[in-house]
Parts: sequence; structure tokens; C-alpha cells
Amino acid sequence: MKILLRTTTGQGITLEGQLDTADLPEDLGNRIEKILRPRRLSAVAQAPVRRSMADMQHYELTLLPKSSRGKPRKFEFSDAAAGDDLVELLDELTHEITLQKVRALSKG
Amino acid sequence: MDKFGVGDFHPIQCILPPHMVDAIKKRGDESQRKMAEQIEKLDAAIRVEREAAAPAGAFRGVPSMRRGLTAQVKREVYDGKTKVSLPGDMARREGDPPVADAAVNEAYDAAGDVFNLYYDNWRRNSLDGNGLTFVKTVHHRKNFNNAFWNGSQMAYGDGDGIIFKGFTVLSVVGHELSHGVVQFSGGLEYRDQAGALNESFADVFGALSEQYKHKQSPADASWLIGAGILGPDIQGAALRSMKAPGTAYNDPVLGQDPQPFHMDLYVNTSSDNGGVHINSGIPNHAFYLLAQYLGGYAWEKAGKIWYDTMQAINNPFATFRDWADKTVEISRTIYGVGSIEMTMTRRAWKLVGIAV
Repeated sequence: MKILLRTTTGQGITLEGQLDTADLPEDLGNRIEKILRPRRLSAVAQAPVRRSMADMQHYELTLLPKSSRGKPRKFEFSDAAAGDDLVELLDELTHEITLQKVRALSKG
Repeated sequence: MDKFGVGDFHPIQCILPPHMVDAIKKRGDESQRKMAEQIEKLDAAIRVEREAAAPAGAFRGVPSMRRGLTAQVKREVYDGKTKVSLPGDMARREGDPPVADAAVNEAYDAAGDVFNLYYDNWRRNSLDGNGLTFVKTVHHRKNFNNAFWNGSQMAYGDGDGIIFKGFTVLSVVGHELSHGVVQFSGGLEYRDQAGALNESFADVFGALSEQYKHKQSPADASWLIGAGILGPDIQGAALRSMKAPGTAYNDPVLGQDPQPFHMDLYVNTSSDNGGVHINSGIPNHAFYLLAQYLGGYAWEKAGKIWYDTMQAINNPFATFRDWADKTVEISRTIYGVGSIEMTMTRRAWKLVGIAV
């Protein structure tokens, strides 16, 4: 499973990258498959957010199709609307993207 | 026909900023003009409905404490233990001595400094004007590169050690607590220009918290938000610069600080709630210019004008122009027609592209 994740922190910093479960530790890959279900993400994306919140982290998450005939599915939501397990997973994936960037820079 | 009696609306029509609606009304064909009029009608209807649904005085500010009364800060700092749930385990209550955890102490001390800024200068008793306890959680989530206000408490991550190394510095604590001040002063919608004003107010009073604590003049202050929190290899000084928006960082991982300092560079985007952390650079810079023009300490005059504007604006959908108009009106009320303060407030806005 491949995903695109764009995380905008509440301080206005944006990080984005592509992750493939095949390249990640097995446990993390399994959690991605289990938690990032379109139905759940769709519900999170439609959940109302408390208006008084400020500086919440925002996500644009795209599930890429497994075959060339499929279509990507994109979901946008803030961590105010996501459950604990989803938030924890997104923190890990955002960190993974940061590490990817750092590794790429050190190689370059 | 919907309940506002204006027919079906495509969602995109509802996010058109007022200046675009005006332009369509002036230059569009008949059907476009009709659409623009419907948008205005809908916007007005929504505003009326929201104001009717809100408690009396919901969009009004907080009155200053009466003379003769005194108040004291009340703080509770929790250890989130890198978990998602809030608030976590109690780490330090009001009056407790310092603990071994530096983040707990920094958050505790900074909250006291922010309380002092608002109380000493504008006799505001905490965020709600009524002695609300500052509830704060440190060590929130793992590798969490953020700090936020959730409507009832603040939460601070430790950073991932690569991009950020913590968020409990005074300018960030002042920023987050000032979101609470905005909320209890009538609020500003967290979207588009009103959202950028909300962000800017938080930055202004985050910067003033630091300046007030160290008794810094506008010339001596850094005007940086989040100085010292970036990771060791990140090329940058802070999250934002009020003195020179767009120059806080320029780094291969983070990209370049996207903040504009002038309306000509205003960023139209749907990301970041309509660029609330981006376009806040414009009112931030206006405040910086005003503080420089007026001299003295920034909280004395410029800060008072901004604080009183927040208490008086009574408009959660305020645009930059609405805010700028109100600051000029407030400066006239406090310092008089034609005063140097009023003239310089106008000039500061003009230099960022907003003529008032």
C-alpha cells in the first residue's frame, strides 16, 4: 500500500512525502493497513471541528491505488477530529517522512 | 430553496472573499451579479443566525478588573508522557516549588509571565477576565512538532529533535495563551483573514510577553516567534519574524518561510485554513512598524491599541481592513484626533498595503 501524506503543523510548517508499506517495518505497515481504511478516513474528514481550537495539526492523506486502473482517494482532516490510534500513526508517519528527507539530504 | 431563501449554493461560492464579490458585482454579467448578491445575502443571513444563536455579548471583549480588586495567576502543568490523551498526570500546581522536569518549569514560569503582561497592563484577570486556571500539558505526543490551544487548555510537544527541540519558550507560550484571549474576547474565525488576524494577535502578544518580561524596547527586541526552538541542523532563527516576515527560516527540509509583509504579496490558498499562518505576516509587520514609530515600550501604546481593538471589534469575521479601521478608531479615541499615535497607526497600515 502506498500513501501520500502532507502534514501542516499548527505552527505553519509543512512536511510531505510518499510512503510504501513495503519499505516500512512490518508492524508499522500492518497498522497502516488496519487503520487507514477509506470508510474511517471519510468519517474523520467529515467530522465537525470545535471552532475555538487554534494551531491544530492538519493532514492531507492520499491512498494511492494498488493497480493502474484504480483511483487515488484523498482525505483532509485535523487531528482534532481523529482518534488516538490514528493520531499516533500519523505522528509516526510524519516522523518517517522527516527521516526520509534527512537521509536524502545527507546522501545528496 | 434553502432556509435563507437564496437557492442552492455551490460551496466554492461561500469562500469568495468580499473584495471578489464586490468585483463580480461591478464587472460581472447579469447572472454573475445576481450570484454575487446572493452570496452577500447568504453571508449576512449566516451572520445574523450565528449572532442570534450565540449568548448575549458573545462577540464582545472582557472588561478590565475594577480598581481596588486584585488577582493572582492560577496554573496547572501536566505531564502528557508522550501520549495523545489530555491533560495527563499532574506535574506542578500553583505555588508548588520547581520540579526536576525543565519543560514543566518553563511552561509554568512562562504562563506567569503572560498573565503579568495582561494583568499589569490591561487589568485582565487571566484568559477569560475571570481568573480562569491556565491548564497546560507538556510532553504531548511522541516526536510532536507542535503546540496548540484546544479551546480549554494548551498542549506542547517536545519536538522530534530534528526539526524542533521543544515549544515551551515564552514567545510560543504567549502565542498559545493569546489564542485563549482571542476566544474569550469575542473570537475571530480561524479561517482566511479573520484567522490570520487571530494568528497575528497571538504572535503580537507572544512577542510582547517576551519584551515585557525583559523590559525590551522595540529596537532591542528580536521580534521573532519561537526563537531557539528549531533543531540544531535547521537553517533558520525561528518560526516567524515580525520585523522581516518571510525570513525566519530557509532550509532544505522546511522550505522557505512563506510569510508576506505586504498586501501585494497576499497568498490566496485553501491550505492552512486559508493561509492563517502565512498572511498573518501582514498585520504582524504593521504592528512592528507602529511599535517602532511610537518608541517607548511596545506594550504601552501599540500594544494597548491592539488589545483594545480585540476587545472592541465585535466581529468574528473581521478582515484586515476591518481590523485596521478599528485600530485607527481606537488610537483616535485614546490619543485624540490628529495625534501622533493615530497618524502613525495609519502609516503603519499604509506601508503594508492597507490604506485607512
